[in-house]
Amino acid sequence: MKILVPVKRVVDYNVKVRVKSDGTGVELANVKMSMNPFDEIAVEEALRLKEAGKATEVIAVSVGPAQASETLRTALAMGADRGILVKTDTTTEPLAVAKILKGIVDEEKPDLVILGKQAIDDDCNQTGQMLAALLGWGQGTFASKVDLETGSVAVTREIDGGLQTVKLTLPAIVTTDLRLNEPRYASLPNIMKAKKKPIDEKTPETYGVDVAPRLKVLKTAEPAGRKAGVKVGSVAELVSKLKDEAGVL
Amino acid sequence: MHHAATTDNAYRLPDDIQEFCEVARRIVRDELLPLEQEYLASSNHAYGVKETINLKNVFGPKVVDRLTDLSKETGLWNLMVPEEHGGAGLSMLAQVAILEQFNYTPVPFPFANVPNILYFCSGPQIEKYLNPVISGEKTTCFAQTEPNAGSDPGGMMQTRAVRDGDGWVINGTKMWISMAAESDIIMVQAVTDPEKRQRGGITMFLVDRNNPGVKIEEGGIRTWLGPKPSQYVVHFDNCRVKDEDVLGEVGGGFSMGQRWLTIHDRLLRGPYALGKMQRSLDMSVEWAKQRVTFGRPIAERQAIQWKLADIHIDIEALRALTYSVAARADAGEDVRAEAALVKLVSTEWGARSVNEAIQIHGAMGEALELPLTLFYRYLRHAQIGGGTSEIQRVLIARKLLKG
Ligand SMILES: Cc1cc2nc3c(=O)[nH]c(=O)nc-3n(C[C@H](O)[C@H](O)[C@H](O)COP(=O)(O)OP(=O)(O)OC[C@H]3O[C@@H](n4cnc5c(N)ncnc54)[C@H](O)[C@@H]3O)c2cc1C
Ligand SMILES: Cc1cc2nc3c(=O)[nH]c(=O)nc-3n(C[C@H](O)[C@H](O)[C@H](O)COP(=O)(O)OP(=O)(O)OC[C@H]3O[C@@H](n4cnc5c(N)ncnc54)[C@H](O)[C@@H]3O)c2cc1C
Repeated sequence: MKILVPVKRVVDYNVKVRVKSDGTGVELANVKMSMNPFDEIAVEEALRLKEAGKATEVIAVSVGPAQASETLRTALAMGADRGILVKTDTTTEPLAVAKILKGIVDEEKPDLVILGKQAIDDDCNQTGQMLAALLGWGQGTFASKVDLETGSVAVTREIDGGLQTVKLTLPAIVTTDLRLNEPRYASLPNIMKAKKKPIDEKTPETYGVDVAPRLKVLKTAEPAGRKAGVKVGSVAELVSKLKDEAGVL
Repeated sequence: MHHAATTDNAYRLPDDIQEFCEVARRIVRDELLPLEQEYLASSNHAYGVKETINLKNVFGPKVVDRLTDLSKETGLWNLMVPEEHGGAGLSMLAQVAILEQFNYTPVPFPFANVPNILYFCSGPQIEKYLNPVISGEKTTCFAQTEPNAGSDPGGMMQTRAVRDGDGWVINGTKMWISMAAESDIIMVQAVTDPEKRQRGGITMFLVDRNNPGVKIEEGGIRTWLGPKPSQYVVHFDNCRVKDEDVLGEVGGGFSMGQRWLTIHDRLLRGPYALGKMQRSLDMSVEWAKQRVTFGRPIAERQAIQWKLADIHIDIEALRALTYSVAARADAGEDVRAEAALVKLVSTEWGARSVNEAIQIHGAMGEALELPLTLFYRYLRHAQIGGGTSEIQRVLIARKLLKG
């Protein structure tokens, strides 16, 4: 069985993002970009399923600018078998990406699509769910454990009250949470092998998808700086401050 | 949180080298930097000791095993091992670029560090000596220097090996031998033909550390390089070895030693210094922006800005030099004089850059919880160990004046 893993190129999680001076977005020029960390977890999970003999092929797909091929190379260096780059310079919204992914699913016919639960740039947390709806497939989101059985997959989900396990009939959609696994580092030999792995280039038009944004960003602003705290001398003072100043008691 | 150097695109290195560097940077950031405070606070690290030994002394076997497994899984373990011995077959350029990342912190990452001359092993020596060193089961040290022979080992070496039946008897004293006490195998140079000396009269022997003729002075020599000593005085007292313990040819030991020094102690000083310099600069920039005197961050003072600029200039120039000499080595050029240049520049500019970084940090620069003074001591030392700055200049001038 095939597993499809979408991977997004985002600002590296270690970069302190800055808002552009004109407030139209965050500064991306000369900023380090990496694979969305949740997507790394998705790639890792797919690779583990392949290594366990439960999957035969792992296909990574990225929707984004030409440089997103670097993100695909990272997935290939981790061990994915081939890549698909859907090239667009437009900022894509979750619905557009989900529609493109549906096109790829129709073509590739994977049994499982594993996505990150959200991308750390826009924090949308929508693509996996939208894709499930477009395909009419079952979805197991925020996965902290994935057990693949014949014809089905049991997904343990992190929910507010604790853990919930859902059983989905394949084909299905899974989105990853942080605790699902610890992604591997790419190895030097795999980085070299990845150079020979194919990346197919497509465009949104290939799948008949119009990616023009439907949402308009009005303004981007830095969060307000935190005010300095105060030291209290006694429990009595603390209680009185909580009562009178903070009004929480 | 410090950010590892982002040097990848600056030199338009090939994509795969950039990807190797990215893996290295992530390992440094996610695995090594979190260990740094504990490493610096420990009184158990020593200079010139194989990484796995240093890690084990400071953190215990759990950390060593985790990092060694990671090194082997990612193939970094074999970074410097030639392809025919199971190595990654990476260019010198790739190696120096990757090693720079790991020198961003003093916390060592375990590699198979096989002295390149050990690849002269032949026949049964491969199983006995080379393979256990590649796998990390055994460790080696290199014994050339003597109490009266440092910069001029060829002319001044007194340790002798004389023929005795089907073997050799070694007598003499070696000094300053890094990790002699922690090694299983001593690679020792001895004079086998006093007439010829460095021109065919010095031979390299592989000596088992437990040979009854080997006596290592206990305690070692204390230096400023680490809380624990790791340089030793080693006596060879009627030390008997067999013919099959000769590495390479009888009489070929001196030029072999020079080969080891060219790559290990000279060219690889480039990345060794660059990682430390880049870290020092990154820390200095952060510090200068937040340290306030007389109402303004010190970053706004020209005195501090010029220091930052000077460190950056040293880094950029050294990096360009290191990459170009590595690329020339990859093209098969004889880079002995150029490697001498890299050694000289990396250790002198490296130390002066870290010196400025310490100054920018004020008293904090002297605190042992920052890696700065350790970087400084390492780089200052490297102006002596493995051939002094003066000797590097001798080698460079020799090439200029030849013919
Ligand atoms: C921490 C540490 C680790 C070491 N590890 C090892 C090891 O593992 N194995 C090993 O074999 N050795 C090792 N050494 C020894 C090291 O290689 C020597 O110290 C080095 O080669 C210099 O020799 P020396 O100390 O005898 O200095 P000397 O040769 O006595 O030189 C003294 C000074 O005179 C200068 N000088 C000498 N000759 C000339 C000349 N012709 N022209 C101009 N100036 C000159 C030198 O540059 C130096 O400044 C180590 C040393 C240290 C400090
Ligand atoms: C081992 C040790 C012992 C000490 N003992 C004592 C002690 O007993 N009692 C005590 O009171 N203190 C002591 N100190 C503190 C010492 O006096 C200070 O470290 C020193 O005055 C420098 O201050 P600082 O470290 O805060 O550096 P900072 O003032 O933060 O300076 C950082 C860097 O910025 C530079 N700088 C600052 N302002 C300017 C400017 N306007 N223009 C250009 N450059 C500037 C400085 O020269 C320095 O290079 C000790 C420090 C050490 C390391």
